Amino acid sequence: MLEIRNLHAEIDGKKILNGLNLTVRAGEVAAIMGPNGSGKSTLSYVIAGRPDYEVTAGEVLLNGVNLLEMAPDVRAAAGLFLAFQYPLEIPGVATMTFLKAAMNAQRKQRGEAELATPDFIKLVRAQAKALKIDPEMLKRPLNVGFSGGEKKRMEILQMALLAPKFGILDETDSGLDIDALKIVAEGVNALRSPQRGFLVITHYQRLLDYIKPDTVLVMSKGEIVKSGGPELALELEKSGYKDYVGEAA
Amino acid sequence: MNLILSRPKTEAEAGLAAQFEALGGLNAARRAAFAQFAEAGLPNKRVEAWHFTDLRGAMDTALPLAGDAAGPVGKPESLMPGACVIALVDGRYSPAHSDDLPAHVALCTDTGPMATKDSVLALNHAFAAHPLHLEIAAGCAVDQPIHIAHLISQGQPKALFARVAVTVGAGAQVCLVESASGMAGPHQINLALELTLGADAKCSHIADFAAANSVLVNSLSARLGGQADLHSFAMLSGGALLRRQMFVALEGEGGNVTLNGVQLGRGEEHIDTSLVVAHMAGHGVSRETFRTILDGEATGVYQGKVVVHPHAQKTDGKMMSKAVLLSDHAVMDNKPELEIFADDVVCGHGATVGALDEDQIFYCAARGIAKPEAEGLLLQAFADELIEALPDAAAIPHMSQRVADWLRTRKDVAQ
Repeated sequence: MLEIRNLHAEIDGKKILNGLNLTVRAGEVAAIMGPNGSGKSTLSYVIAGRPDYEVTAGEVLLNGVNLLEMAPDVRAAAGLFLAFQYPLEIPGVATMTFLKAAMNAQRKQRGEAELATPDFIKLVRAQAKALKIDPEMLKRPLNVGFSGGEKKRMEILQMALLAPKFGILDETDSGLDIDALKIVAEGVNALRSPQRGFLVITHYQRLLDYIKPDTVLVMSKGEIVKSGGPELALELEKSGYKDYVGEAA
Repeated sequence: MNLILSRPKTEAEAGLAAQFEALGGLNAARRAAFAQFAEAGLPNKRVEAWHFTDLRGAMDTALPLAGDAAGPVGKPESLMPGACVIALVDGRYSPAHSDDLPAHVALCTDTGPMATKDSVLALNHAFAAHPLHLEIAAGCAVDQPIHIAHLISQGQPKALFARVAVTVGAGAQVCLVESASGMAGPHQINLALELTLGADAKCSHIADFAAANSVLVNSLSARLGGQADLHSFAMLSGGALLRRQMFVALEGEGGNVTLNGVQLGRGEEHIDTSLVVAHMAGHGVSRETFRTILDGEATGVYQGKVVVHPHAQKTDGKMMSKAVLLSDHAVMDNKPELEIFADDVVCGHGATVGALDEDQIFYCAARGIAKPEAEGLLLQAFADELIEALPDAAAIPHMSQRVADWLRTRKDVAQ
C-alpha cells in the first residue's frame, strides 16, 4: 500500500530525513513514535508535498505510484490524506464551502462528476453527527476561532468525506482532552477497512489505546530505528526514547 | 517682493482652457470653478492629496467633449433587482433611458455645487453642463433603490463630465446605486456625486466602476446632519487611471459614516481610493475598510485621512486597508492618516500589504484544491468579507460575482 524507500529530505539545507524506509500494508495501522525533532512531522509533510521541503533521494509509493512526482493536490486526489497537527484557519471561507470545493476538486481530478448539493449536504450532516460536530459550526469559516478539539474533529470529518486510500494522522491527539480523543479515535476506527492504510504519528501511547496499531515504529534522527507490535508502544511509555536516540547516533 | 512663477500649461491643460473658452456665456459659478482649476492645473505628485496618482501624466491631451448627439448606448447593468434607473447619457439626464421616479423623489433645480479644494472636482463643476439634482422628501423612506446609471455612448474617445446632487431630507431613507457602462474608450471621465443628508437621514450608496482602459475620476462629496447615516461601498476595477475620491463632512452631532470598497487591479492598471472624513461635531462614528487585490504590474493606492475638529469630542474613528499582491511587480501605496484636534476621542488605523499565505495554499492543496483554485477561494473570501457586510443584501450577489468574474479572467490571462 504505502512504501517509502531510502527517503532523504531537507529544509533550508538542514537534513531531516536520512534514508527512511517503511512499509504499511492495506488494512494496517502503523504508529510512528519518537522524540521531539526526530523528523516525524517532516515525514508527514514530505509525503503530502509541502513545497518548502526538498526531497534529495528516495521514493514514496502509494499502491506502486510514486507520490513524489505529483503536485500536492494530485496526491490528495490519488487518495492521500494528511490530518494536520496544526490545521490552518481559512478566514472567510465557510466550512461547507471548503468541504464542497475539496470534494469536487478531487472528483474533477479523477474525472468524476460533481456531487449534487443535496447529496453533499446529506453526507456532511451524517458524518458531522457521528463526530459530534454542531451543524452551526459548518457555516463558520473553516477552523477560525475553533478550539483545538474542534479543529481536530474537523480534520477527521474531512478525512471521512474525502475517503482517502491512505491517511496520515500527525499528532492528532495533541491538545485533545480524553472525551475529544475518544470521539476522534472512534472517527478514525470507523474508517478502518481492509483496503485502507493509516500512519499514526504520536508522542504518546495513550492514543494507541483507542486506535490499536498493527505495528509500532520508532523514529530517531530521520530514520526508523526499531519496529515491533503494539507492545513496543507500552515499553516506550515506560522506558522513554533514550535507548533509541543512542542507537541511531 | 512677490515672485510668481507660472508653470507652462501642459497640452491637456491648454486644451481644456480652449474648450472652456469655446463654451462661452457661462454663469459665474462655472467660470469661478474653471478659474480654480486653471490656477492649480491637473494634479500631479507634488499635490499631496494626489501624491501617488499622477493625473497630469496620465492625460496627454484633452479629448473632445462629449457632444449632444450621443451615439448608441447600452443598457445599464442590473446591480440591484427592481431598482429605478435614472440614466445619464454622456453626462446628461436622459428620460428616454430612465424609469419613472418613485414617489417622494423629485427632480429639482440645481442649488449650486458644494465648495471644493480639489482641482479635478472644480473641473467637473466647470464643465458639467447638465447637473442633475434629486430631492428625497423629508421623512420619507424610498422603497425602491435609485440607480444612477452613467451610460457612455459608443464612438470616438471623448471627455465626459457628469454631476449629480442628491438631497436626502431630514429623517428620509434611500438606497442609491451608481454605475458607469460603456467605459472602453479610452475616454476621460469625471463624475461627481454630491450628497446632502439632513438630520436623521439614512443613505446607503453602492457604486460599481469598471474603468476598462479609460481615465476615470469619481468624486463623492457628502455632508451629514445630526445622527445622519451614510454607508458607501464601491467596487473598482480596471482603468488606465481610476480614482475614487471621497470628501465627507460630519457636520451634525452623532453622524455615522461607513466607507468601504474593493479594488481589483491587473496589467498596468492604476486604482486609487482617497478619502477625507472630517468630524466637525461630537459623537460621530466613522469606519473606513478597504480591500485591494493587485496582479501583474498594477498599482493600488489607499489614502485615508480622518480629521477630528476641536469640538468633535467623543469621536470614534477606525480605518483599515488590506492589500494582497499576487505578483512581485504589483505595488500598493497605503497612507492612512489621523489629524486629531480634540482630546476625548477613540481613533485608530491600520494597513497591511502582503502575499497570500503559502501555508493556507498548501492546506488547500492537501485537500485536493489546486493552487489557482485555492488562490481564488482565498481571494474571493478576502473580498466577500466586505461585500457580505453590505446593508442591502440584494446587492451582494452582483458584487460577489464581480470578484468571481475578475478571478476567473485572471486565470484566463495566466494561461
